[in-house]
Amino acid sequence: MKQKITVAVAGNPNVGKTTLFNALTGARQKVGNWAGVTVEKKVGTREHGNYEIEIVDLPGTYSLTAYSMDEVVARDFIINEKPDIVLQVVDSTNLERNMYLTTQLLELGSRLVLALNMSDLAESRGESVDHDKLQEFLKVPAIKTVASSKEGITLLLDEIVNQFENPGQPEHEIGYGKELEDIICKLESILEKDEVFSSLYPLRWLSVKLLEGDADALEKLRESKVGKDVQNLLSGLDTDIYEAEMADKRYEFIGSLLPQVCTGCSEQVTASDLIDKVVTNKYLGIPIFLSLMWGMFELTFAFATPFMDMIDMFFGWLGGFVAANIETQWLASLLGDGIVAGVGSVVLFVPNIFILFFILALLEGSGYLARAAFIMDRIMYSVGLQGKSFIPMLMGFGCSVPAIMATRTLEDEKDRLVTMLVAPFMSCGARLPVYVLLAGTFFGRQAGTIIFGLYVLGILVAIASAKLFRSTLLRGESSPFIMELPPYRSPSLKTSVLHMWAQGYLYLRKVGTVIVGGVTIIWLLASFPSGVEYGSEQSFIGILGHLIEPLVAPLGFDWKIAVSLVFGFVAKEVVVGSLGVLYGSGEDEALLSGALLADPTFTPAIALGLMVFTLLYVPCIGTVAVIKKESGSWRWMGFAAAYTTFVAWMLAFITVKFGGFVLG
Amino acid sequence: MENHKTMELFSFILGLSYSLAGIVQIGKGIGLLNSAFAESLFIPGETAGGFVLLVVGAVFIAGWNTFRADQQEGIAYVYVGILLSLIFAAVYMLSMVANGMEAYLLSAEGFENWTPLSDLKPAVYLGLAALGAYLGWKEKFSFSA
Repeated sequence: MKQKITVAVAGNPNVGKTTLFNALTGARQKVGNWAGVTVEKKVGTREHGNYEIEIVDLPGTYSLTAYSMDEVVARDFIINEKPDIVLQVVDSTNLERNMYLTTQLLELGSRLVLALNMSDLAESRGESVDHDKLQEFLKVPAIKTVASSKEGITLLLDEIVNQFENPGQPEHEIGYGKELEDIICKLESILEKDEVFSSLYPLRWLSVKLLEGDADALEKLRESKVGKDVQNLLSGLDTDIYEAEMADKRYEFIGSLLPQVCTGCSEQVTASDLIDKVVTNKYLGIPIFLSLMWGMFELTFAFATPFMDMIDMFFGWLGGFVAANIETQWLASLLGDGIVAGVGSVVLFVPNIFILFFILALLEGSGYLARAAFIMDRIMYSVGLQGKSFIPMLMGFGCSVPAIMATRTLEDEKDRLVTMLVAPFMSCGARLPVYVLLAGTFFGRQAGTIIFGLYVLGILVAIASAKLFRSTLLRGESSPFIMELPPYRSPSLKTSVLHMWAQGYLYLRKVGTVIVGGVTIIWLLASFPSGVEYGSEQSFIGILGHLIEPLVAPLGFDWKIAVSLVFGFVAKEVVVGSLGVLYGSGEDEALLSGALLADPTFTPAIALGLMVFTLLYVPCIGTVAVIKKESGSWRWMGFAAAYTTFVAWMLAFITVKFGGFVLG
Repeated sequence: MENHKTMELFSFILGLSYSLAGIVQIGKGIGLLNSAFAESLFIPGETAGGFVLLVVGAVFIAGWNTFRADQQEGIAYVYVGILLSLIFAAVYMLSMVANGMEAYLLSAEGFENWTPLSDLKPAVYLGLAALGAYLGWKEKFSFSA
């Protein structure tokens, strides 16, 4: 039976913590949530010598204050679970910022081991950390690692075992100056009188937190019998000033330590800093962002066209082959008119999906997408959200489901709910086929610009809705936003291709499951009752369409469009498949475009209105389900469905009426 | 330092060229201009494309302005301006390739009279100037990463 060591892995975001955790645990991981909160918890194990080491990956944090759920989770684990070792992953290229967390972990009395990660990168930049000196000053072991190549992992495990076998008392503390130290002493002597409290929390740490006005520490104090005495002492003090003073003292300590342990670590202007001066510039930031977005959609539309034509030809041939070689009429119709036509009309847009996700992966890999959140911060803040909310919204360009799940990163519950409600307005990849079909048919060479305009409209509606919710249903101040901008890098072609394939595969898998199911149902509804003309007004689908038509008639939409929109609730791509079935053009895009152009119902204004409606109306069933799961409320789910559809109807109405004047 | 005068001049010329091309492209796009002059310079009528040209122009002009104030940060504007120029030149070049496939490989309808000149736009030929500058100043742009 091997002895167990519990290790908590702490560290700032983006320091390679997850890579190191993976290097330590391999595939032996369990993923869940921390009790009572939606913060991901990862636990893994590793055998080393005579020990089984259980490694818990704590959320990435810059400090251990109580400003975010992540910070509270991390520090509560260290205080309550008392892991044998706290392993802090430190980015060797940015010691100054990382050491702030170190000072807080030391204050917490943790038995600390430092992993000086990315040491290869630091050395390539001419920075050299004397880790012997660092150990000597901090009195904690420091091991150089390169998590990506597993360098230093064995040494790190040896040191963890060594620290476990030879525990010393953490003896480092930061001096805060006479005035503050006196108050800390007074607080400690009061807190000492509560035996339960004394056994639960490191008293110096708790005193420091109380002096900083830490909300979580003050909450804990309510359970203490000495709570009143502490409150009396604190009542005459300005904790905001003390918090700033103590932060200054910690940085002072770091500032005096660094020159002694690190050569070449002085602040230098990097290429990333220079580029950021321009791309995050107050005046140029947003126009540059919009230009790049436009370029992305222009390319998504223009470069995909020949490939779409090739797919179109293939499915045209396949449809003809089915019709010519299957004698059973109903089966030929099911395969030809239903499955080949429906699936073909959706597969047609695979090139657009692949190109869009490839470009998004390039932008993400280069580090630019992180800047987008930063650039949008001021706008987001003006509507009562934080810039961080823009990250889930950006993910919404791909798919609303992970976007809504990503709202878990928002600490403030109201921020989270608002972001959840507005994220579906960001145009997901599934809506793209609808735009490509309609914009390509009715706006020709301007299609890329029209599609870009729709994406911008989605962002604007999301922002306006957030403002509305923040000033009515979900009032409140947004949390402060601190975000680290990763350095710019040349995006990896391999990673971008893999990301593109992963997203494209999801789309293709949906084609093989949901879409086939959807088009089969549409085929059944279009073929029965028996004897009616396929897809005619007398078929079940026609009856259904006429039933819904009055709801969308003011928008100029007829029963065919109404039916397509209903089926779009299953998956937005089905809108195109449905139109293909109802216009009898099957998978042939040219034929469907021709049919739409020939239909007097379809004017450019109606087409634009339909694109606006598709962009904004109730998201697909998967997204609605995830809103229910993440908000934990049927009420919010219902509200999201109703609100989005209402907004879609209103804006489509305005588009059709206004577009009628402009476009005819 | 001695070469920053060249960069300053370059950012002014390119900033002006992009801005003028952007204004003409927007003018044609919204129907204010319909001149043979624009046609001869391969400037199409594209409102959004014109806006993009204006943005790139603004970055170069900002760089020129920064150099004039004797701030070395101007190099950052020139660098980003060149990057944006190259990105948009690549976007249009890839569109040209796609249209070439439509015309010569698929013989698609509407592309019967297409030639590469049909897609020659300011973003492409001004992008070539930016590419030349990038190759010439590559060393200057290799800041510490």
